Amino acid sequence: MTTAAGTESGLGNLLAQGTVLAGRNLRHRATAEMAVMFVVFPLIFVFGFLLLFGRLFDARGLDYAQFLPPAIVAQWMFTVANTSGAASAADRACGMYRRCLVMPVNRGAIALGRVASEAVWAFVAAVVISATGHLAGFRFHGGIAATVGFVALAVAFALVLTAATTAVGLSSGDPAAVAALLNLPYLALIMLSTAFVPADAFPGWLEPVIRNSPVSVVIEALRSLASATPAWTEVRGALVWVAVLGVVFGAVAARALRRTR
Amino acid sequence: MTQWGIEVEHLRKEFDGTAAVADVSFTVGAGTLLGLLGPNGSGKTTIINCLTTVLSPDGGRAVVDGCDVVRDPAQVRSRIAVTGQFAALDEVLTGRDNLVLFGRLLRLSKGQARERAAELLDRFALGDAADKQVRTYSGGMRRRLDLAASLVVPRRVVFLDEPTTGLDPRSREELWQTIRQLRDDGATILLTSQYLEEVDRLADRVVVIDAGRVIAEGTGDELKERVGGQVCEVTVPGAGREAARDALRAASREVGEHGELLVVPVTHPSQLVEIVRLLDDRGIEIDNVTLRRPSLDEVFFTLTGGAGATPDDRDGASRRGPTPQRDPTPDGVRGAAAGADGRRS
Repeated sequence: MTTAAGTESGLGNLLAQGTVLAGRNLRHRATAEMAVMFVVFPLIFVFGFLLLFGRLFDARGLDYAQFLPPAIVAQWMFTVANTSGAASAADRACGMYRRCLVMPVNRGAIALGRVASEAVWAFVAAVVISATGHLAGFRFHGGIAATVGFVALAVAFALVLTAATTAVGLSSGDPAAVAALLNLPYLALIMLSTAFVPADAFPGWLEPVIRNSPVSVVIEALRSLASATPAWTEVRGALVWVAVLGVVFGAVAARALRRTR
Repeated sequence: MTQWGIEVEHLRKEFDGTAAVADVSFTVGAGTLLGLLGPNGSGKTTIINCLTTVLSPDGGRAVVDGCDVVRDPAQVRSRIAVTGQFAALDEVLTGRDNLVLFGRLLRLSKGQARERAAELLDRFALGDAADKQVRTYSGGMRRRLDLAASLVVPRRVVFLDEPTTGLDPRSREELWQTIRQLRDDGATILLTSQYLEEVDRLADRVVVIDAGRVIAEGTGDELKERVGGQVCEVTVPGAGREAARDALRAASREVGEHGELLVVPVTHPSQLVEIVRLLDDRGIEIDNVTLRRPSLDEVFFTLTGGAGATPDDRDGASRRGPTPQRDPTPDGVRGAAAGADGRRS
């Protein structure tokens, strides 16, 4: 009999096992439900909001077809992260997580598997929504580098959020509860941002909060990257937020991965 | 290679100041099967979790296949197969894909993983359902696939935590067959169970734990010897029962009562005759007399003296009296196992 087959240390194992887990995560969620969530819903949101608010904002001189899609992208990064949190909870509930713990599987591979699969989902969502926006009149005016930056920022934002939801999912282990719980911060943060209306549409006392919320800052950076004149100052603010939240949520997720049994 | 597959010395694990495992020591000889017998909440799963590196012990030492679980957890993980109380599988994937996934995680090539999956599906009689989603599997199929998944790479030490809980008698028998096969192939196996019958049928040696401590150790026969070998049940209708109980106690026998039944541990079948004669001499009318093997409840009652239940183990505590098998339990399997054990039905 083979005795000590399968090892877990080293970069080779981290990458190989992370890739296997990422593939499994992707396959796991490649369901009709997810197709609806990632293709049909963005279509409904883009065209629905345009129909609702398009004329209103056009009258104010705001091109809503250009304004809206970056917000839908940011919104969908939340969806990627929230479904990922529920998937982490499900992995714990069904014992998959536990099995990985007693197998010679690199501890980092579990995290890498999540990061990689959510990066793919986030990329797909960003592309689908941008394409949908294109039908409605949305354009990338800033050139190739800015367009790549747009997608990269969106994916980075999704991964930062995923770190937080992974921690929640692993700690809870109840997929339904996690999905419900994560809707609260998601709705609050999206509502209290410049996602659907400009900051000056909020009451004056609330405006500074709205302007500086990380969600607003990221959405404004995405808008800037899609505009004819991408502004580094806007992008820099978003990068700072993503970096800060990445460190904080990353630490929280690492702690959850270490402690969850 | 050492003589021991598993060595546990003064293992201790606390949760929030309460010792789930207070002080447990035992060894499992290489290539043998040890049954860890205990009620719910006695610490069985915590011991398994410490030995499989899921939890780190608060005290003592544990060595698995020569590797210390605290100092060298990665080495331990690369030597063990673990099947937990609940199947740990990907419900969305097919049985085959689950096995391929775990093979790939263990760094087998795609081809090797597929080949090994096919082999295991065949060996564990899952060939027909190989390409169906696991969520459609029955309880028995799930358990077999779970065990197969833990053996994608052959392992020298196998942990089975209550492997047959929730299975119908036929699935249970099939799984037992598989476990015997594993041991015959030379694996060291640590199996936990709540069923005396199960460890009796499978284990070379048995360690009985209660409230996080070892309360008895030996072969199945030795343990049954200690608890009186067999149990005599006497059905006495009406008023004669008290007289019968007092008469038996006067003859220095332990007597448990359950409705119309008096339950008397005996060390030899011939004592049945003595009991009947004793009651007959006093003119006490008897409806029925049966002899059966003691249930786990009775084993625990005898070994613990009815004490030692953990505070969080109300279920175990209430079961611990010398009651016959017919007490309603929520777990159908337990009833089935007891039925076979008690030879009543």
